[in-house]
Amino acid sequence: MKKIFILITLLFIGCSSVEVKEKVSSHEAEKIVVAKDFKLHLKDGESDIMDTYDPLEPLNRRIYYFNYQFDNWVWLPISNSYNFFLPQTIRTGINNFFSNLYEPISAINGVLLLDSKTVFTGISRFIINTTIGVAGLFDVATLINIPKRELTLNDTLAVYGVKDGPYLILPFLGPSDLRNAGSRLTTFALNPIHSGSLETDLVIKGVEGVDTRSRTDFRYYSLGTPFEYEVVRLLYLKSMEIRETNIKKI
Amino acid sequence: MKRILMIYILINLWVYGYDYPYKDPYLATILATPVEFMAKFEDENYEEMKIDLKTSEIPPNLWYLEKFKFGLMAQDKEAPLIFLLAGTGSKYDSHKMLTMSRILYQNGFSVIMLPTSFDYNFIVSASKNHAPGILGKDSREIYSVMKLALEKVKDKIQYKEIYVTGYSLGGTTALVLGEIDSREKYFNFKRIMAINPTVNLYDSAKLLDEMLDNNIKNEEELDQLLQKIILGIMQYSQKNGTMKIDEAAVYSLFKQLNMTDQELKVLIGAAFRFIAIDVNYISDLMTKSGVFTDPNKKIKKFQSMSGYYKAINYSNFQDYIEKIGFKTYKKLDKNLTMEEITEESSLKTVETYLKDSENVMVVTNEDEVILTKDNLKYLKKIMGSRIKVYPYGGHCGNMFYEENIDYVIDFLLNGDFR
Repeated sequence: MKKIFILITLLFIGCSSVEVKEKVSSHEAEKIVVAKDFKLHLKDGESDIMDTYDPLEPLNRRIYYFNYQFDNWVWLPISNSYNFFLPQTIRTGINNFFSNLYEPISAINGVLLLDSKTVFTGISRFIINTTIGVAGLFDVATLINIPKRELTLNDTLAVYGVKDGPYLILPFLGPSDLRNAGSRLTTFALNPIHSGSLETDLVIKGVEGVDTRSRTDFRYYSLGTPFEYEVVRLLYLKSMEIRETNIKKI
Repeated sequence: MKRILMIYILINLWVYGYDYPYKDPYLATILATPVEFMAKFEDENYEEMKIDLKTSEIPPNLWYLEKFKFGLMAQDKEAPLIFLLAGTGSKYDSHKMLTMSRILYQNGFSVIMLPTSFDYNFIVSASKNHAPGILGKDSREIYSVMKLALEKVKDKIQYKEIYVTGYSLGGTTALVLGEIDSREKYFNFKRIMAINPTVNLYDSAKLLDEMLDNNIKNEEELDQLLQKIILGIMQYSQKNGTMKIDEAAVYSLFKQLNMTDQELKVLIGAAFRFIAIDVNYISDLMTKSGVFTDPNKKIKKFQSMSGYYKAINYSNFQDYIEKIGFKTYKKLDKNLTMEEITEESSLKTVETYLKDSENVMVVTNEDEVILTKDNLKYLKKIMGSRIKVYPYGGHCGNMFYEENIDYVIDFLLNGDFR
């Protein structure tokens, strides 16, 4: 099963061509024409901030709508009950547990990116929280001042020049792109928790999903603007781009 | 010399004792009130209510705005009922609305949370002509929606008296609603409180339009500012292990970004401009004005919108009034002029009522960024002893400051003009 996952991931990554990225923003390429007015107005230039590469937009918009419905009928009722029935302490414990599982992954990516600080924090946080923190339920490492540094496979691939590919709205999960989706799938396949059956793995993943959803305030179609899809896309792509450029600073 | 000293001492005495932390009006507007200085309240939940008003056909791409939505925070016993009206373009459940509702609830009120005339849901599903901008007309529409809202929640609340309050445009609307109700007597408002109201819609819109237009050259600068903020948020959430953006997060983010006054103005102007862009699009589409949208083109449910954003190209509030609002109003009254519209959108239209009403109160700030000097002077003149002007706080920045809230609640419950 795991092999199939990795194969799919490789296919994903294979789809996006590999080349070293040059950091040139589209704005630098096209000079904005500014009127010879004494007072410069924003409206004198062209607005191209929303012109982003989104070849799958018609499909993405439909998945966006599907996610809204899924939220309404499944995700939110479950996450509301989760919030209602489980006290904050237990929810924090669950969140710490899942978050702890990603520490080794951060460390591995730290090795790949030659980022010794992340390797150190990843390994030490994982050891401390798994032992003293009772299997990761308590975040002791943060208490003793070893703050979290998260690096994902997506960060590594980005730094090594794998292009992000088209923007995607993933079913159940929301905004992503081809490279990031592949990275998430691989990470899922390599996850240290393996019960032996895919069903159980998916249930565990489901609990993690509920935990994440219950801590995310975002609601589909409620940003207060008719340009919501475009705004979400812009914020996602911008933040990915900024993360990529500043990965060492974040 | 003596006189100067006297004036200096007087100014000091006047400001003395008011410890709201941000003396810069733009910083105050953005950062609002730090948690430790805020009025205390519990995280009460609200219930979302929907009314189907069937004003006109809803465009397929705005299917989610088909029903008019508002909120209710109901006490489980008999309690005074208050209508809370949101600011310009704000949803009924925005962060500010939620905080204010919770504070009112904490002080014993049942709260009906409503947006005002520039909210996209209101324009699409509650407004009859879908072109906000004339204060009197907009307020009459809100008045009739309030009746329906009350009808809808009647079984969920027990009340004897009704109050109304609002901030920013919601505050202005509350004052006009008071005048309407003084004639119609449907609600018989016991008291009316306006927090940081605008005096004239156009003066305020112009100030806010210019905050962006005069301080930024092009979209690229806006983009750079956006990137700066995103990076700040990322660093903050990595450092604190949380993605929650609350007052504390905003504060530390701004401390870290070290923004200039010009950048602060751009931020306030941009927040308002995004509302103007939405209004330009929605009103154009709903009124079939054909400025940015083609009235004959069939719109699909999953319509791509970036082309419209490009076409609107940061059109501001004044553009909206000139190209869409004015055209729509003229269909109803051929002889209407721009001057008349401007006059109609001022509190001057309800001046007599405001002068004579003992149950109306206004709270604002000396450094309010959406009022001209004349606006503020006018407000002080007509409200007399029924206005409280704090020395600073910007636009709604000190709204939740404990001292301000004490004052507002005290007036609502006891009718005190201190």
